[in-house]
Amino acid sequence: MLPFVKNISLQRSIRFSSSVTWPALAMNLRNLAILGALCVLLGGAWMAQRQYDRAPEVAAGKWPSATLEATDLLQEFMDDEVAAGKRYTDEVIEVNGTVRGVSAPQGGKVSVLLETGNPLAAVVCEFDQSMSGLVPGSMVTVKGYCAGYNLDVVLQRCALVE
Amino acid sequence: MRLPQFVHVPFLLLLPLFTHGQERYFTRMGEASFSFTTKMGEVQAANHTATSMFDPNDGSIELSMLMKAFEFEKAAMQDQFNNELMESDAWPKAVFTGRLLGISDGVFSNPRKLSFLVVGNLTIHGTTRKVLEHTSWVVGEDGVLHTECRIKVVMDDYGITVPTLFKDVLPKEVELYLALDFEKL
Repeated sequence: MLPFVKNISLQRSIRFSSSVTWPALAMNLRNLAILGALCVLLGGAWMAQRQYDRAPEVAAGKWPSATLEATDLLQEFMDDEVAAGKRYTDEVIEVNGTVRGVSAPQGGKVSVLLETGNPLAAVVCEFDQSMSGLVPGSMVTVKGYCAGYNLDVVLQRCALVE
Repeated sequence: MRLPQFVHVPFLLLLPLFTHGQERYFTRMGEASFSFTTKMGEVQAANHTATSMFDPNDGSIELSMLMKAFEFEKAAMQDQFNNELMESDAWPKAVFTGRLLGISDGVFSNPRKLSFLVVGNLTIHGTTRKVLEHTSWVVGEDGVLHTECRIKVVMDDYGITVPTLFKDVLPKEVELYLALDFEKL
């Protein structure tokens, strides 16, 4: 009896524990260590798989590395494509401009073309969702990941800035 | 053959904009895609911003696409494609310059279905190879020209080195599917 422990069931469990032999305790500790290692391995594998399955990041909620007019963005690429590519490619940039047109091919992305003053070139902003509210002539601010310059400057995974 | 950086200059700017005869056709929303199956599942990538110009007078066609505009379902695949396979910072574009064989005057004037062989040079990863493929064409009622083409791309031919880790996972060749809707310029 352990007179200082009033709870009967706790007294029993303490008596049981004190009767455990050292080899059995060592075995339990080894099992616990194996279980812990397995948990760490499974957790690591789960984290790695989750990281691998991650979808490409979208611009919504991201802080832009630069904010500029569509005309200026195109001009920078036309002046020095390599330098502008190093500055903007893979970065989230925020672009202000006037909508030239909206293109929504079946099964494809929705592309909003921003005016640049150059009839052959535009800033193309790709969206994953419908942009039915945008009409030619309206002023917009868009942020997106810059994919580079291919006659047009291409922004992907875009979001409208309110 | 490795091309220097000047291939980055948009080819369309180097072309004269007006010609005699039929008008030229242009698209900036061309689709380029490829897919293959691995042990881990199907891998698909698509690019919806290929720019292309087609001249029905002589059948010449030029196409350019940004490698970084290929989008994958998973960010890790996109990173591996750009950084480990295509080295997209060094070689940001794939360019095709070619010509349709056997076209005749006015063949694109009326709505109809057509097919032609196209021959030309495809530059990927800074390496240029000759290609010869079938193309199918649909001349729409509205004057839009729709064309499709499948081009086999063998990784080794373009100097694309597959990292050892992916050697047993990735195919040695992929089929690049192109679908272009040309409108009059």
